Amino acid sequence: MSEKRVLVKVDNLVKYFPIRAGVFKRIVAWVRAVDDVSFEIYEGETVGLVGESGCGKTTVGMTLLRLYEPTSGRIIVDNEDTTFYFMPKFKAKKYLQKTYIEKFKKEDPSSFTGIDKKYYDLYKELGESGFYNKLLSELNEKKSEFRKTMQIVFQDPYSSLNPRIRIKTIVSEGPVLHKVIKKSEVIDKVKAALEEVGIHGDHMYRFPHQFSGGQRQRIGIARSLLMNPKLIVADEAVAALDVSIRSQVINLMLDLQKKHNLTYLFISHDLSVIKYMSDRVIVMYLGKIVENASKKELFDEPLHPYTRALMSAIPVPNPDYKKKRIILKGDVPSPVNPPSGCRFHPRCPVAKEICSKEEPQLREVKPGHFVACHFPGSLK
Amino acid sequence: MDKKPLLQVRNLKTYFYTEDGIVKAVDGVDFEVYPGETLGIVGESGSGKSVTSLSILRLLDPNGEILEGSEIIFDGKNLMELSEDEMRKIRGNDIAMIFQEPMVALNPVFTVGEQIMEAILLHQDVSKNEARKMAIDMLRKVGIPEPEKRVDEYPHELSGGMRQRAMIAMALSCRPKLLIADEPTTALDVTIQAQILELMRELQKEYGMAIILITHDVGVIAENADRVVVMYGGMVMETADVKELFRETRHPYTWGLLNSIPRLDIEQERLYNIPGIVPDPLHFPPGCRFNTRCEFADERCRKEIPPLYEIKNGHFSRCFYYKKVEEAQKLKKAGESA
Amino acid sequence: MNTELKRTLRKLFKNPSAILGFTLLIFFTLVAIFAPLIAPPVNPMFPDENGNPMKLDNPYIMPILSWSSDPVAPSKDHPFGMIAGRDIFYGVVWGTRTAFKIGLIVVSASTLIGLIIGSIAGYFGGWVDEFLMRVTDIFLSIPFLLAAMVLTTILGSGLNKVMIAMVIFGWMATARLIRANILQVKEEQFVLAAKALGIKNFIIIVRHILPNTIFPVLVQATMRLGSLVITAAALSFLGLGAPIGYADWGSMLNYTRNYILGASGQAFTYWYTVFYPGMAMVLFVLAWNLVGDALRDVFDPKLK
Repeated sequence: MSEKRVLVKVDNLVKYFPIRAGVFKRIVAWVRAVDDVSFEIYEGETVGLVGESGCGKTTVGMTLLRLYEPTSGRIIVDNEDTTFYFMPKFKAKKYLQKTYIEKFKKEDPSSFTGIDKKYYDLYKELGESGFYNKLLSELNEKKSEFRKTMQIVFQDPYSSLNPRIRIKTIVSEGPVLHKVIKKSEVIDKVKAALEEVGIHGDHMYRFPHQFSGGQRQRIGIARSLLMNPKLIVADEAVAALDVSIRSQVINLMLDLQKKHNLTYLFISHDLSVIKYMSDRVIVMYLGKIVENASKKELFDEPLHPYTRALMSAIPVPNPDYKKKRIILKGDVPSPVNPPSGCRFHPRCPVAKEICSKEEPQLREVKPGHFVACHFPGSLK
Repeated sequence: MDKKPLLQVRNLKTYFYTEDGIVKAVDGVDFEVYPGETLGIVGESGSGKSVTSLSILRLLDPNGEILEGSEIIFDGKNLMELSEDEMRKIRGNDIAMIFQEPMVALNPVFTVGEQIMEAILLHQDVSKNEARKMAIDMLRKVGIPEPEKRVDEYPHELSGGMRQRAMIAMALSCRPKLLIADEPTTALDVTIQAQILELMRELQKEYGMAIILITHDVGVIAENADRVVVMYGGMVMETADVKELFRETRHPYTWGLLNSIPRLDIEQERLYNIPGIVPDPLHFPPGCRFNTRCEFADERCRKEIPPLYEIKNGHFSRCFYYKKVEEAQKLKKAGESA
Repeated sequence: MNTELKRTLRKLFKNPSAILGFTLLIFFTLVAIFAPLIAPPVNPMFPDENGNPMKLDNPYIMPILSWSSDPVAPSKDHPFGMIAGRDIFYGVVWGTRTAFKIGLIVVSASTLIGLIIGSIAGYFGGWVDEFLMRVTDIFLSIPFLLAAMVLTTILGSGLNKVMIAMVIFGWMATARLIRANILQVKEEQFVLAAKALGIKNFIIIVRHILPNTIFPVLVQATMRLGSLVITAAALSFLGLGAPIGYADWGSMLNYTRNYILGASGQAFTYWYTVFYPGMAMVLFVLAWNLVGDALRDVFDPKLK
């Protein structure tokens, strides 16, 4: 693990959505969709992000791609802080000041690692105003680089392609804008990209409604692929497909990963798909990460009661397979008013008193196996 | 299995007449349901599984028609010959149905209690007060907490899982002999799905009703059905006892389907691909409906529709080459044990 | 694509009210185009040096053919009769052009304004949306006729001024409609995909959002086109709109004010003074409404 390069590092990511009501649209409450989440994605691996509706898994993906602006936290891509890229300039400067300058002035420089160390060296070299100028310059180029690095494949093949434009435009629009491909080579490149995902190249002049669900999903993949990204966020990319089509798309994604050395963040509610696709699995519940481990670790020995319950709830297509059924009581609570202490405690079969009072931190129980539970492994 | 079937569907053909042509949604389907058992119908979109269930209750859209010669025999009566009035007495009383999206089936302007009471008052000779009591009991039975309070709530005040429970309460309030559940858990989270399926198993044990469980999820079938009907392109491809179907698969479609799903219980190298796309019900291929995607298909499959071969007692397969599937399965098993 | 177009056309031509609407509309269009042939813009009262009737400088100003202002019943020369010395047939024919002019210009201008304001409000949301929608509310709360009268006293009367007033107070419904549609489409995944590709906001609105939201607006605009003519007529009737003698259905009704009740004891004596311009107006509005209905059936998949 340690020799692999970190492609994306998410630090203490928080995303709250306001609930507004009344005449003046006052904010009356917050939906705590993602509440202090940290993880890393290594180059070339597939991270599976699994959880039920309302757990914040889609919000993580969307915030990572900056389709939502994070409420707080830091998103580091390719060893560059990208958090301030999409902020207005005065906010970006404020962010840099709060995140870095204040820290540099107060703390011991020898304790800095990773991005902090990199930026500290820059700060020493250029001084405070030079530091701002350097980081806030060429933001448009940086944004463009960001878009090229990270792409997304969506769940709904019917909503993810604009019904009124041709496949050629759908697939080539982004790459042409970011000069990944030249205008003169659009036809050749689109054709190649389509054929790579198993769509006849001549069909680039058709409209989305002329394709089936599985084919549209392939077109969506081609659109991302032609940007030549390093990371693709796949948000329930196979959930809406028929069973016999699902395996086609899954296999296609695995083949493309090998060929282009892609990194995937594969978001799904379905543990069996996650198990097949992923190298590492992150389990989320109500805006928090409850477990993060390699696939083998997680499936051989899930330590969080929620992970275990989730596994037992997945129907296995084998009538001879005997499993212990753990039926959780109650519904998933609302992320507007999450329970105190451990958010899972009202449904947890092994919850004790401390669970309702103290929030368990995500800690490394075994090498590379993180779990947020006061009593990991207690549910058998 | 020597018992008399509760429901017999014979040569059911349901066609829809659209502007673009005739959609042969269900094209000659046969199966039976025995008292107290769960029959799983599994298939993808366009396989005709939902239309089959709606045909049993004769709840089709106006442009749909059940063709002459189709027989749906329930408890000795051919439902096809009943008047609309007689049919209404059967619906909800003898045969109840639950749907994927409870919000569609529940009326948003009435409380949950009113809707359950309506079903009870329609089919049973009880007073309003008794009906209300029965409704509260029913809600308690389906695991809704504080049923005395919930009975006066509107559907939108309940969570997705609770709504599904309320719909089950409504469906079971008249103790039907047959419950048709059309993708009852597809819209729910997995932990809630587990709750609902558990509930259905318990209630079936208690009431002894038969269930037709319609789903696209082979896992749900494996864990909940006693017998399985595999549908594709409006036809039955394979029918068998659930264990038999998974152990001794005899149709290329079932075989492909089982090998193409990611599974929790075993390690998988690479998922099998069923090539091609799910056919459009307007343009089914001639011959076997699966021939365009089948690796065993030949000239014969492209011309003739294969009959349902009875391979063993109660195990049917609509494939000329079911023996080839058997060989493929033997090979795979040998590979796994090696 | 082709089959879809065919199906759409087939559906249109199965619908009798759609056929009636399109037939009427085509008829009005033909009348407007061939107005100079149907009712030549000449004044036979004033022959030129060759003895031919004098050409009119402005064909929209109806020539005065008689010095008597009383209505004259329909005759061979004046099939719709005469009023205030002017030929009603001439006025109805050339009034068609005026109706189209008012309708098309006002509708396209106000729709464009509504589109821009609604798109900005819907796409950017937040305080921009809040501000623009409150402005919209303010405009909506002002009674239109009153506002138009005030505005014409500031700008002066005349057809163009009336059209300006109608544009200024006519964009709000479009803005609201397009905003609501955009709020819906904005959440579609292809819009998110475009954002993830780094496409610029302007292009996202123009290429990805508007084409998927514009059809209800077109239907609305079509329906409004007819009713605008009535509004313009009302203003002309009040004396705010077209100048005296202008070939405009509303102004022609203005002449009839004294004759609407007929002569004493004979209510229908001067029926032709109201009937022909009124009928033209009714049919014109009907045509656009029927066409709008037909377009809605075609574009709204929920009604299929």
